[in-house]
Amino acid sequence: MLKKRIIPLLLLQGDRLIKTLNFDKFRDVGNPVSTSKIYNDSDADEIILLNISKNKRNSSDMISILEKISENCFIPISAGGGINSLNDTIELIKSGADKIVVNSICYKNYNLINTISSKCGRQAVVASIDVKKINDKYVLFSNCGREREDISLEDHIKKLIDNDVGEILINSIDCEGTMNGPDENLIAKVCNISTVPVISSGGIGNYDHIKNIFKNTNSSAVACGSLFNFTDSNPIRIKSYLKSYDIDLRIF
Amino acid sequence: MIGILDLDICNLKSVSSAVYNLGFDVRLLKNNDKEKLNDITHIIIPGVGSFSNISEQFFKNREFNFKLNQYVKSGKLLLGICLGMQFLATEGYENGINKGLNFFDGKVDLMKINNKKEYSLPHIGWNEIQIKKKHKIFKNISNGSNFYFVHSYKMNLNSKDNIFAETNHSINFPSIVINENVVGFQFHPEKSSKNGLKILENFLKLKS
Repeated sequence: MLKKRIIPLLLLQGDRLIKTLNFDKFRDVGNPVSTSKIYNDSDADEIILLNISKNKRNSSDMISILEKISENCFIPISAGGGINSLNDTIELIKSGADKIVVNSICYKNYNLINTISSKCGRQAVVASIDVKKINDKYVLFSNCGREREDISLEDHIKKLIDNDVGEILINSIDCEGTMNGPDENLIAKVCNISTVPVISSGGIGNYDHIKNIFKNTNSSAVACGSLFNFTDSNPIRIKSYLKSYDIDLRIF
Repeated sequence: MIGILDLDICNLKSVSSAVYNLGFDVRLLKNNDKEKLNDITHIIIPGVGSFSNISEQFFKNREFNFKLNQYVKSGKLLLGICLGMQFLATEGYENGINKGLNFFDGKVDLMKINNKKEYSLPHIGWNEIQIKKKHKIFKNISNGSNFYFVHSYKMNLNSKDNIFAETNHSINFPSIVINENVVGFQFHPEKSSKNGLKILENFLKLKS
């Protein structure tokens, strides 16, 4: 049986890591290369690196950083932010990414996922979905939460899966950066619709939040930013805690 | 000197960084007439892609195939990773029937999943290995250690003698195979954190 995963989520702006609150209020949290090395050494199962620069994003900005990270990181690396073509994907994979993360482009061109999947394998394609609750309804947003999309959560996920996406990364804009706990209903809903593994993120502030996600939903992984950036937590401590609750994690 | 086979079909950076981090020097090997294997003690065949693709690229050059066979006959070490391991078998059934290196008597076919609700393909993620036989490759690696897998096909060997570890994903499949100086890992040691580097180091320390 595959292990549940703990994934540090790194947000990149220029050549620095930052952390946001509700997709806003940027705070500098460190150097991407040395931070990744620390996560590698503290038993993270994977890392996700997303370029969220407010300027016009270009996936090639990440390439030199990704190359340096992959020299010292011997765990799977997912990279994304501003991917617009198959070519962008191939460049990132050549620079050390094992998977790529697409978001905004999906709404314009679902077919691109299919193209990437058939060229690089579906395991290499993660679709990230940003959701905000408006009038008790889940509404999807693209471009780092700036543009509202019309398609429903359910239809969007179905289209992604029809086009051979490998995994889904779900993030709640309302919870993101608050550390007040994730939107478990949202996560459960996505897990029910999806037939591919789901990575949950947004709002995780303590170990119980992670425990509850694994206990109450079918989520395959959790991705956290603030928990690692602003507390003395690391993946080893999280796993030691969760071990007591019968959650199947990679301990050694 | 450690040789990594470069067939121009995948990213070799992670594998070469891992070897380099363990304190060994690396040279990329091209399958052309000029390539010499005299100074090489260990060859690694990394693998991302499909069996048909690797088979087509590799057998483009007969001279290199001949040299590699001489190299293995001389007792020097060879490691196949993921698709690279599968390529060590006699033949593969991904996109038609394609020839492999035949260091292991068997074929490579799609994994048959019984319980499709709980298990899906590709098999991606961290999974345990069950050690079946003692070997130096397991130095400081305990039974049930986790490694990172990404694959949909598995190796089917005609004899169980060469299976040194198995992994379960709805069915059991070989995750480590060894035939004297030829070794195969179905997982990616270069992506398997500390255990991955440890087992890779154990391979690099094997003597011919």
